[in-house]
Amino acid sequence: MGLGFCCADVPHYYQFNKKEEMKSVMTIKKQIDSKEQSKTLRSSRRHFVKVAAGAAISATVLRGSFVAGQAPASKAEKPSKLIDADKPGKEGAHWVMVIDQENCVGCGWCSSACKAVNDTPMDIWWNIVYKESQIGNKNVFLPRLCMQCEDPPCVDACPVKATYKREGDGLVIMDYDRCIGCRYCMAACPYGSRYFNWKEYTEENKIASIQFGFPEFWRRPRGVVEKCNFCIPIRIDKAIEKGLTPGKDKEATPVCVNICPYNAMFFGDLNGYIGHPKWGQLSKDTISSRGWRVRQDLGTKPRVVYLKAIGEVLKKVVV
Amino acid sequence: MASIKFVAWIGFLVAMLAWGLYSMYIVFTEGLIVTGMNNTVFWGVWITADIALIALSAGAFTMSATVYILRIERFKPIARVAVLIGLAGYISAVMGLIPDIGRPERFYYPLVYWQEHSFLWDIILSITVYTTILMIEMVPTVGETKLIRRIAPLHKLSESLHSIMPLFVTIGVIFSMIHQGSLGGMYGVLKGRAVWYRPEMPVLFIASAIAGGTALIIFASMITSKISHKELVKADLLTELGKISGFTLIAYLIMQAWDFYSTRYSYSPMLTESLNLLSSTPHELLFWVGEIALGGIVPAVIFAAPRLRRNSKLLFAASGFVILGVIVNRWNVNIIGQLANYYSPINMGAGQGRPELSFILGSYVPTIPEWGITAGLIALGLLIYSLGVKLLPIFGKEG
Repeated sequence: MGLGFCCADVPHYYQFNKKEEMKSVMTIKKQIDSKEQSKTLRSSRRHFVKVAAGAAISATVLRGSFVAGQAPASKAEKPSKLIDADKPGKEGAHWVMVIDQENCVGCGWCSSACKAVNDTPMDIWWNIVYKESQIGNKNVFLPRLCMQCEDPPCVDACPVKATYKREGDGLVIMDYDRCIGCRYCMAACPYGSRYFNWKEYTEENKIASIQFGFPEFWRRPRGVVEKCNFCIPIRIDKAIEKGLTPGKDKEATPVCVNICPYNAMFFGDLNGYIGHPKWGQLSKDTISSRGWRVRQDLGTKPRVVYLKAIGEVLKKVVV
Repeated sequence: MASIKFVAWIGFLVAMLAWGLYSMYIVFTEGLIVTGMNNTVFWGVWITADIALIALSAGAFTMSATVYILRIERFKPIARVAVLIGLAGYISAVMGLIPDIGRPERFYYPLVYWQEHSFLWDIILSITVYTTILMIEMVPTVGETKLIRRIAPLHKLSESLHSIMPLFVTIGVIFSMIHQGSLGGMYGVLKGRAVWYRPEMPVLFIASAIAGGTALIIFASMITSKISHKELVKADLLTELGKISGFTLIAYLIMQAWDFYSTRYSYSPMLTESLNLLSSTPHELLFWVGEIALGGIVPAVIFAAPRLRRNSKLLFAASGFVILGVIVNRWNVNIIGQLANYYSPINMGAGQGRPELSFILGSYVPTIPEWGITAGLIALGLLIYSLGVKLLPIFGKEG
């Protein structure tokens, strides 16, 4: 799978770890032979991180445990409205995404899964993995989504309320059927999370695959702004109707969190359960001790919380 | 009646307009991908042209306020030309917004779905109201033409407007002030772009609009007088307009200097760096020479010194410089403000003991369809002005 193009910094990392990669692939093969793949992965995180460092090569091997989506069902009729703008969301919920920079190695799988499932054009990445800083000779990565600010500058910018905060859970949503394409919200967003559809997206979604998932969200028309929406229409809203818990059940959790192979992304309700369907619950002490939010100086109060990298796990990964 | 020169001029403007319409057709069919705009610089020459046209149309509200609210009657002879220039500018600016938005068929949405927090909504609403008022203000002028005089009910209607005109003018002045300021505020509130993030932007915008709008009245009156070989507006009145423009310009320059030094007095993250960008190459020439020296100090000196401003050639040149300065200023605010994009991955951890903030430079090269529409917009404004002066009693005896 072409992982290289989703994140500019990834290729360097892989070059850096070429030797380790080969070792890892050998390890994986052994594990598969002993038919203890999933058990081993879960029991020894350190070992797993080491293993998964070779993700580019071992993607096919791992397919069994990290399948993000199923083959596309026959496409339904395109709805008259892309987003149900009247839906208030779960009352009182405070959805947060927690990204552990300690464990993130910048593989870019979250970007790819997001692109595949939300069906964004080639030049639009709702979720981009940036190289943020360094600890020693190890890069620290920062996956940037829509920060889902508590006090979003984009909402105050939009002249037609095409982007708004939901009444119930306060998530920031785009109504693509109302957006006039003035691009003022792009100027207002301090995180660069908003993208404009400069042309109609007609090409095939090349990244859609069994590994990263298949399009579940309708393509946005030409001339509107779009952004990450925490997978509200395709995950959270549907899950709440079914009575599932985001962060616990795979169907209810955003695709980027589901696919993360490095124990780095978590999702959930700040007042309730925060976790990952595979890695389990995340303790709130971890968030309060290592958590930080991007550009806090601007006072936007993002809902995406990053956990500071301290370099312990990372040191062990890198040779 | 119409001379060959005039017909040729109108023909040239129509050709430009046709180019603009053709470019608009390309944009509507292929989408905004044909422009040079991108996700870093997403407002290009069209928005620059729009905000410059609106600023230069501010003469309409300045003169209306002077004549009808401050009741300085001696400026009455130029009230009509001011309104005509205003109307021409606003119609062009509104036309420029149509291709610029991604979904042109939804252009009326801001009037239906209100978002009172948005400066842009505020601007769209008050521009709509103000353009309507400018049209109403034009009614008495149109009513004086021979054609309307012959149709009694229409003539009566336009006559009856005279008595309630001060009301419309007052509403117009209020709405005009609102959006001239809001245009600056629109840029001022943006947290994402440091060059724009200055609360004093509305004040700077209003001041430069008053100076530029008044200068455009001088410029247009003098050029029209020259072409028609008549003194359409008395020289001492134009000199007095120059004085207004000049002193507003001086006030503007003082505020600009305060703004400049207060943002540099002590280090404030990003703001200082971004302002350094404005005053460092390759944008140095535009800012210091185009905006400050030629567009500000030179005309301010000419307008402020009585001996210099009485020289008609210098008065003409100075008003031209002010117009140029306003256009360069709007270009700097709009384009350079976007180029200095400090959204960058290494800036994410600001205030967290991470590396210091630094900005990344965007790039923007306007394409031919963009210039086509810009030329079309300017041609539309000039066409409205030229035909208005030709067909309506703009510089008429009643004034």
